[in-house]
Amino acid sequence: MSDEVNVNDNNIEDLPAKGMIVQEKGLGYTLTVDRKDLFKTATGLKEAGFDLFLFVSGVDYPNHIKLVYRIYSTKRANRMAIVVKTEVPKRDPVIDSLVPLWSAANWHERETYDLFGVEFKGHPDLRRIFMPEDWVGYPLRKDYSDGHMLVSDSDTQAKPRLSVVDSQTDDGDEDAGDEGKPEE
Amino acid sequence: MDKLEQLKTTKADLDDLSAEFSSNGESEEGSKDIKTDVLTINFGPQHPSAHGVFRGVFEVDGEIIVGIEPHIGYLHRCFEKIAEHRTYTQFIPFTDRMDYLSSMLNNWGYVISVEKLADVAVPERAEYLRVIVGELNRIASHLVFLSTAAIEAGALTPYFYYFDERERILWLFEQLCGARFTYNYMRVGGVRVDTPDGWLDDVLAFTERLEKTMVDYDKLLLGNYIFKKRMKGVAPFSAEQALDWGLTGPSLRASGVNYDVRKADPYSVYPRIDFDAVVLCNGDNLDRVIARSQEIKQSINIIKQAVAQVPDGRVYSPGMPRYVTPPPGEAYAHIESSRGDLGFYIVSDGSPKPYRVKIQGPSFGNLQVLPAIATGSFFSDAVLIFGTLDVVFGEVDR
Repeated sequence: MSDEVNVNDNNIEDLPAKGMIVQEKGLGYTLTVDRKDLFKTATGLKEAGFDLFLFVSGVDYPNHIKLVYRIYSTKRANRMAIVVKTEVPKRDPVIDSLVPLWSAANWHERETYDLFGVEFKGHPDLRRIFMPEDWVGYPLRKDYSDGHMLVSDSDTQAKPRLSVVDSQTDDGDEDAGDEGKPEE
Repeated sequence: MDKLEQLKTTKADLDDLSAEFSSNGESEEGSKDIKTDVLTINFGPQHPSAHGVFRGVFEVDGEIIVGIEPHIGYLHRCFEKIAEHRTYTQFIPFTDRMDYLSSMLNNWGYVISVEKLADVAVPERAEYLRVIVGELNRIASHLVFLSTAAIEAGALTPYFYYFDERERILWLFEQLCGARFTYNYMRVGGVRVDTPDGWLDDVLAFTERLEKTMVDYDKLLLGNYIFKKRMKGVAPFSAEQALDWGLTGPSLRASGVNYDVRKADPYSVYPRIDFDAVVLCNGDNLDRVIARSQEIKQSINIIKQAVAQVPDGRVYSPGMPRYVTPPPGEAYAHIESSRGDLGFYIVSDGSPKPYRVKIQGPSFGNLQVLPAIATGSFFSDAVLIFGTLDVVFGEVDR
């Protein structure tokens, strides 16, 4: 396995908030910002040559949703990628949209809105993208349940999850834990 | 490469085309009074050229597309949610069903991320086998691309030749892992089974055959006057636009951006293999087709070197537990799939099941380009443009 990035640290000198950029194991260069600074930081990154927006997604925790952005630079000499992390509280999941900077953010933000319920302020067309428009709930949140989900916890002694509620169906008659059962 | 140069669109060709068509009657005397209305045309979701279930609402003014509203999600199964209820190994077959034309590469992208998270070393022979099957799968996928591009332009003959070659690859995969389509071949820590006797020789024989036949097929498709005329200069996309819209894979490289994960962020044993990333310059339909055809040749080159270098030894890391249980943490790894940058971002909470799996499928990012790339083109080219973006809906919707 190769390292995520193998460049000298001095190559990040011109980036915004360079003091906060750390080399995280498994992720490479990572920058954690407050949500109100996100747009400013992203603008700085764009000016520093980060031109390819790869994705944004969320991770659901009991009280907050962590947003993870990955942006790549084809212009910089060391051609690096950077991961930007930020958090939004669950009672007010609002964040600035990055569509004004990268058009590519459009569908990725719609996906995050659809599946996590994060509202992107300034997005030109914030609608559900996978689920029907009248769908209730945000499927990738840990407390989501629509009553039809297969839950297979029986064949592994799973340790307690980080979130308290795991979508457990009432009937529980689903066949649990068929390893690698083919779908077709 | 000389032939390639001849196929390139020149600026003059584009000017001819635009002078011929884009004036659209407005500049001519007497036709100013003709009133045109924007017409809304529905495409799909059940359409033979939709490469899956895609619905697009096209706004056309005469023959020119003025807007597209894509609707996706018909194949949405929420694999990311399913992953949270499966062990790490149990999720591997699901990745087969994302981009079903290059299942091996999907397997690979997933296991490489779990290996990074759990810090698992992979035996060298397994790494080489992954490269061989991955590149074979890339060839198979590009062959489907070329044959469907030909069909969409009205040429049925190349389809049979390309599918004949693809069939040989599927046969090789069947010998290797028993499945023709959904392979479930890779494991965290290696690959499921070693090669049968003589399999590598069969692979080598196949690549030698394909090297010769691809020359003929290129003449048949890319040398065809009608095909070239139909594709050249259609929907050109500049490097800036392509980057802004987050295009990845061969389509991005056809626009002149040298971004290939195998080169930009080398993984597995690619640093030991000598090959080129195919970078073209026009970013039009024809270049997107040529890029795939050239990539097949690079893949043949890679497979030949990998078969020559593959060492003996085990194919599965010893002492792997039944349930892979990575320590709490997060990891992201990506590979160059046949459609672009395929990444998996996995968060572990220390249990045998992932806390979160984010799948960054290249088809999703490539499809959102469609309105930007096709607006201004002829409606009759819509399916061709859509085809050259090479999206697979299993991966768009996941």
